[in-house]
This record gives sequence, structure tokens and C-alpha cells, in this order.
Amino acid sequence: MIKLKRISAPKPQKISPFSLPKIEELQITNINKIIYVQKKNLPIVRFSYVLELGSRFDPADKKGLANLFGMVLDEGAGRLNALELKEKFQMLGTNFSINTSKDSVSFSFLSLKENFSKSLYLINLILTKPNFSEKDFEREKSKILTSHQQIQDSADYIADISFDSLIFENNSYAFPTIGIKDHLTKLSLQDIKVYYKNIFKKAIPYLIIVGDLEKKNLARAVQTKFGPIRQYNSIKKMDKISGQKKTQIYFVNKKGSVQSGIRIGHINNKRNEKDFYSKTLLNTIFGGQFSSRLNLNLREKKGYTYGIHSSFDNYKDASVFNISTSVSSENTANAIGEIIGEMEKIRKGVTKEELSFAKSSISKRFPSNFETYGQIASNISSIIKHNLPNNYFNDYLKKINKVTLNEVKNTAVKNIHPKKSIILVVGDKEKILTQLEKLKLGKITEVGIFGDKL
Amino acid sequence: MDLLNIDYEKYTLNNGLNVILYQKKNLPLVAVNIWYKVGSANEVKGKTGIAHLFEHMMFQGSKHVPKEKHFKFIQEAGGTLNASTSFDRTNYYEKLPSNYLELALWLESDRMGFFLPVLDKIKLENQREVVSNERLQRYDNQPYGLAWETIITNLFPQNHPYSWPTIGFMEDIKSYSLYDVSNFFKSYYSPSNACLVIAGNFETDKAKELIELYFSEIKRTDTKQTQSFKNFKLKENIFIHKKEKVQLERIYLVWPTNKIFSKDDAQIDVLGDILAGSKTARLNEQLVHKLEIAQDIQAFQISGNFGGAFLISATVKPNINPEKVKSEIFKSINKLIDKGSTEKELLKSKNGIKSQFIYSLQNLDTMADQLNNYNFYLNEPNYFSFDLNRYSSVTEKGLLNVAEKYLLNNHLELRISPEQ
Repeated sequence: MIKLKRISAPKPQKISPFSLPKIEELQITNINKIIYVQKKNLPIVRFSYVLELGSRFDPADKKGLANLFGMVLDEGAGRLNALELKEKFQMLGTNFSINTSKDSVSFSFLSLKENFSKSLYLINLILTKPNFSEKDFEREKSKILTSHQQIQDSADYIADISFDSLIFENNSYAFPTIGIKDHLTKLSLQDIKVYYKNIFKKAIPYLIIVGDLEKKNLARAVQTKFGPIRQYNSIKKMDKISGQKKTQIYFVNKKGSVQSGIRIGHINNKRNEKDFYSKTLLNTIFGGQFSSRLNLNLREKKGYTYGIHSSFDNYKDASVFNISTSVSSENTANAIGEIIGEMEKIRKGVTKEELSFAKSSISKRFPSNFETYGQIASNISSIIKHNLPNNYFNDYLKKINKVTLNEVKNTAVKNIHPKKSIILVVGDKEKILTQLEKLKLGKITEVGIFGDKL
Repeated sequence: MDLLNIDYEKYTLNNGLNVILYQKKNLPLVAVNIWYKVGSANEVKGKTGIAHLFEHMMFQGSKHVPKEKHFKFIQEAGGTLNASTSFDRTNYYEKLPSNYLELALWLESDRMGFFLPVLDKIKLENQREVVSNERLQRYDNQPYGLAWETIITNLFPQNHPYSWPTIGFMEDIKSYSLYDVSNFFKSYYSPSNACLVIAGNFETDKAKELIELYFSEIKRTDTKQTQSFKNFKLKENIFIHKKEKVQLERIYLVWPTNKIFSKDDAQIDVLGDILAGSKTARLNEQLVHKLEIAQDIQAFQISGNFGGAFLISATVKPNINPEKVKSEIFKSINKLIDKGSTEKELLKSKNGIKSQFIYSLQNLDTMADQLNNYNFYLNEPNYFSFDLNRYSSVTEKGLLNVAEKYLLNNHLELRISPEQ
């Protein structure tokens, strides 16, 4: 019989074993990379076809091309028109989606195992025999132009888009995936067709498949559907990103706002194995979860916000340190002051307790990162994005647990720069400008809703 | 379908706490999920939002758990946690490595049994600010963010428990006193008013022993009951027009429906799916795809213990007359009522629903929550197959019946137009 003792937290039981899902690479000629994970507990399959052709490769005068291409591609294929094609997926109960980001475009579905082959057939039809009708193109183009108008209503969208624009300046990461209005207006169906022929068809995909399938059959099915594809070599080199010299404040005037959306951060060195683990721990302590310094201060102590979060956003060829929150208008400057204060403070290091909390949290949470089919697929996709080995996760915890207090401190000094940050506020000018001036943190500049100079 | 047949054990402690155990051992994880039978429907006018604010207060520590430690304990153990409040209920949940089950039971039992001794004004003032900011962030400062509040306050009769928003009105959020909070706890947070679900990797005997240990000494108290409310119809159409800082006009059309899991409930859900559940649904095909007069369109039902509502909303494309959009929506509805649905569109909808049921089994916390959901409304946790069957047995005739029965009644229309 166990005795009731409420006064302190009970000790854990013996830890249950966890084995990582086995990541296998199927060897198929003429195709880039096929990663397969057998997962048996449910009769479902998750499939992704990913191309490293994100919006950052949009030509300088055609920003929004990759995204619009993704919208048009599945509007009919083979003998099926747009609606018939979508109906086929629905009849199978398959959730199909195309997602374009700055780094990649992915075609994914979640299907029942019994409908995997039929879903694979449909996705192949989309990739190889798109209809590209003028009518479908015009409709999708009009949709994206309307979305472009609508995002002006949302403080969050404005903040995210203008923050990237200010952070990346003239680099191709600076432009929103949704594109630039004037460019979108000029895009024609011919642009889409040229893109398909010259870029899309020549790019090499990687495939991620998670589910309970026979490996041999799977290899055959994929081989007949997706090979061969010729190499596409002309991926552009990144323009250099200079980074901020000193802290500056920018604001977007959104009249009538009752809150201010705040983004604070700067360019950071690219994801690399050397400091990735100490950055992960550092951010966990600083603003990566509920019990972080930022959240405990700005939410649980000051009550300025519903929540505040920080992250190192790792793109393929760049990384950004980003703090984001929304606060009531009257507390705009107070909140910024506290955030800058926390940035200064963490550069002095973290405590032993904080580090051991972060290590414990990350290590013990590890098994739950592999619960759903989608989680596994997304973990693999980040391995591929950052050119990591297939056994990456095997050593992950060992590397996390090796990080020392000193390393975290050095990482903070090197990667968190309160004096070289961009501070962006989206809010009502009348309510915030005087507050911002009193902060005396740097030059204050008003910008347009996409971070553009006024 | 066997997959959807959940093997569970359900029992009640002496103090009235319901317990549901469901073993699933594929991962070393355990989900703990408690539903308290209290939501914003139990509030009174002038104190709206207190059920939700109370949910926040439950994370502010209890007699043996210092403020801020609730989150810390769970996160340090590698767990994730949160809570949510709706019209009908409040749930608290965490998912942890299975060897930390006892930690979760200690924390949940401490705030169930020992919340009041450490409640204080500083905590209340802090969370009042947090919740005010939550309201600003999620509603006041979002485009069309107050539409839902406008709809329910005008659709449901005065004093109907759904006639105010769960987040609460700002002036009410500013008004709660410590007495209100402690009184709320005493009125609703009795073990006899809650159900604890444990799902995942655990040993049954051990789990039962721990539950008994941590929860059985908590005394039950009398809980307040909220009167049930009769179904109602609108006496006439209601039209509300608002101007806001948005780019595009949006139309909302809303009809009162019935309680959750009542006779017509599943049919109405399918009706929503057939009208606007996908890009090939009727309204999408007609208004978005063919005519290109709407940017997006939705149709769905929300329903609970005290009633329900069916809602269609459409965002009008630039330079299109909203009247045209409205009349096309009604044309589609009338066509459905006139000619009925096709076999194919019904099948399409059912296949989608069936797959979603299976996909939803991936997450342990989703399953734990669903067990509580079925138990709360139907007193039967293992309702997955029956629930799916409600949808797969919908007929063309049944669909036609509910479309006629509800959509021909008076409705509420809300228009939100751009200010300029």
C-alpha cells in the first residue's frame, strides 16, 4: 500500500522503454531520396512529395509565383477537371494538400491504407498531367489577390510579413510567400507553364512515407509512379544578409487597434550542429515554452500579454531569432522594455536549475514527438532540409545532455543581441508613438504594412 | 469497425468522482483528462466569463503546489498540458511519459481538493489582466473577431445560457471579486461533478490504487444545477448590420437548431458538409468556383446541452453586391430542399467522416478527450462506433427533412461591412 504524501511531488516510476521509429532509405534509381518509416498501429499512410523550390526562388519580378503555381497545379489533371479531381480524393477519404513555404513546396496526403495506391495514382496525375486551363488560372489568381487584400486586416500577418521584410532586407527570404500584389497582377498562365516545364519538372523530389506497407511493393509502386527525374542544378546562391548594426524601432500604423503586435529579433547564424543543441536549450529557458523567463515575467508577473514566445527560426540557408507577442496598447513600451531587459539578462547566463529543467523537459518529452504519422513525417523533413544524417535522432538526447552552463552562456552572448535588434510594433500610432519615443532605444521609423519604406 | 471499439473500464469513487480507464500501450505515454461539468452556460449575466477565468486560476497553484509550479512540474517531466472552457464544460489535460502518471494525479487532485486555501488577490489581478489580453488578442483585435459574440447575443433568447460568449464581456472580466471566484469553486468543483479519464500506457491495478489514494479524501459538495432550456424558434428574421475595419463584406446566416446528440444532430452536420464542407460542396462550387462572387464560405453546426445553431458565412469578393451572394445561398438551399441531395454527394461526405474518425485515433490526448466527451453527453465513453454510425446511416430523405425543418424557419443575418 502506498502512503499519501501531498507535501511534495511524487517520484516517477521506472522509466518505460521507447524505441525510435526506424528510418529506412529505399534505394531506387533516378530518384533523389525516399525515406520510409514503418508504423503499424493504425491502417493509415502519410505521404509527402517535397521539392526544395520555395518562394525564395521566385524571380525578382515574379514574387508569388511558386505559391500561385501550387494553387493552380491541382486544379484538374488528366481527364479530370478541378472539381472532379478533388471529388476523387474525397471519395477515398484522403486529405490532400499542397503547401508552399519559403524553402520548399510539398504535396502531402493522409489516407487509409486501403486507399493508398489510389491516392498515389491521383497525386501522380497532378504532378505529371496538370490541366493548366486559363479559367482555373484566372480564378486562382483572383483568389490570391483577394487574400492579399484581406491580410491587411490581420495584425499578426502584417507583423510577420513586415518583420521578415525588415530583417532580410534585399535577400530573397525577405519576400512573403503569398507574393507582391503588383507582381501577382502581371503573372500569366504562361509563367505557370514555363515554371512547370523548366523548373518544377527538373527538380528532384524527396519522398517521405510513413505507414504500414510492404517495403518491396512500396518501392515498386513508387518507382513506376515517380521515376526518373533529371537533375536540376541551377539553385541560386544566397545573397548575403548583413544584419543590424544597432537597434531600431519600426512601427506600422494600424488605426483603431486595441493591441500592439510586437516582434523583436535579428539575423542569426545558420543552423549548425555545433551550437544547435545549446541554442535549443537556451531558447527553452528564454522563451520557448510556458515556464520560460519571458512568459513568466510578461504574462504571469506583469499581466501584459496572453502569451509570449521566442524561437530560432531555422530556414535552410538562414536563421532568425524572433520574439513575438501581442500586448494591450497602453503597455506597448512597458512590454518592450521588459523584453529588452530579459535579453540583456540572459546574456549573463542561466542557472543550474534552469539548465537541468530544460534538459529534463526536452529529454523526457522526446517520445511524444513521434506519436502521430504527421509528426514523424515532419521530423524527417527537417532532417532532409538541414542535410542531417538519417540516424540524427539516435544521438539527439546525448548531445542535448552534454551541453554545459558555460556553453549556454556563450551561446546567449553570441546569439541574442538586444543592442542590434529590430523592434517592430503593429498598432495604433496615436496610442503608441509617445510611448516608443520615451523608450529611447533607437531611431523610430514608420513603415507600410509590408515593411515597406513610406 | 473493431478499431473504433474501445475497451475501457468505468467506475465511481465514494465521493462521486467518475473514472474511466483506457489502456493503449504502443508508446510510453499516458494522458490524463478531467472534465468538470461546468461551462459558461452555468454563469449569470453580469458575471460572464467567470468559468473561463476560473480555468486560468486553476493553474495558479494549490495548497501543496506553489504558483507557477503546476506548469513547471509537468514540463520538467516531459509533459504537455492545457485546459479549455466551452459553453457546457471545462477540461484540464496533460500528456506525460507513462512513469509520471502519479505526478499528474497529485497535481489534479491538489487543485480539486485544496484550491481555496491559497487563492489570493494578486493571482486574481494577474489573471484578470491575462484574460483581458486574451480577449483583446483573440476577439477584439481580430478581423470579424466579434461576429460570434454578436450572433449569439442576438440569436438566443434573453437569459438563454448560450446568449453570452464564453470568454465573457470585458466589463464583466473587470468585475470579478475573490468572493466570486471562491464561490464559483464551491458551486461546481466537487469530485461528484467531474470525470477523470486516464488513457495510455499504465497498469490498471496500480492506477486504481493511485486514484483512490489521491482523490478519495476529497469531499463532495452540493453543486448548482442550471435549468434546461426549451428549444426555441425566432419569431421573425433578425437583421444586424455593423461597420468595421475590414476590407471585405461578410455575411452570416444563422438558424436555431437542437441539442447535441439529439435526433437531427448528425443530419445537420452532414447538411453543413454538403453545403460548404469542401471545395466541391454545393455552395463552394456555385459561389466560389463557378460564379466567383465569394472568397470563402463555411457552413456548420455548433450544438451543446442547451441547444444549437446552424451557421453559414460567406466573404464577399471585392466589387460584388452582397445581395447577390445572399440570394445565391438561398437559391442553393432551396434547390436542395426542392430536389434533394444526390447519392454521390452523400457518399463523399460519409467517406470523409469515416476517415477522420480513424485519423483521430492517432493522438492519445484526442482519444482521452473524446472518451470524456461521449461520457459527458451520453454517459457512455465507448461511443465511437455508434457515433460514426449516426453519420453513416444518414439518408437522402433524412437530410431533406432537416433542411426543410430548420432552414425554412426564421433566421438571423449579420452583415459586417468595411467602414469606408
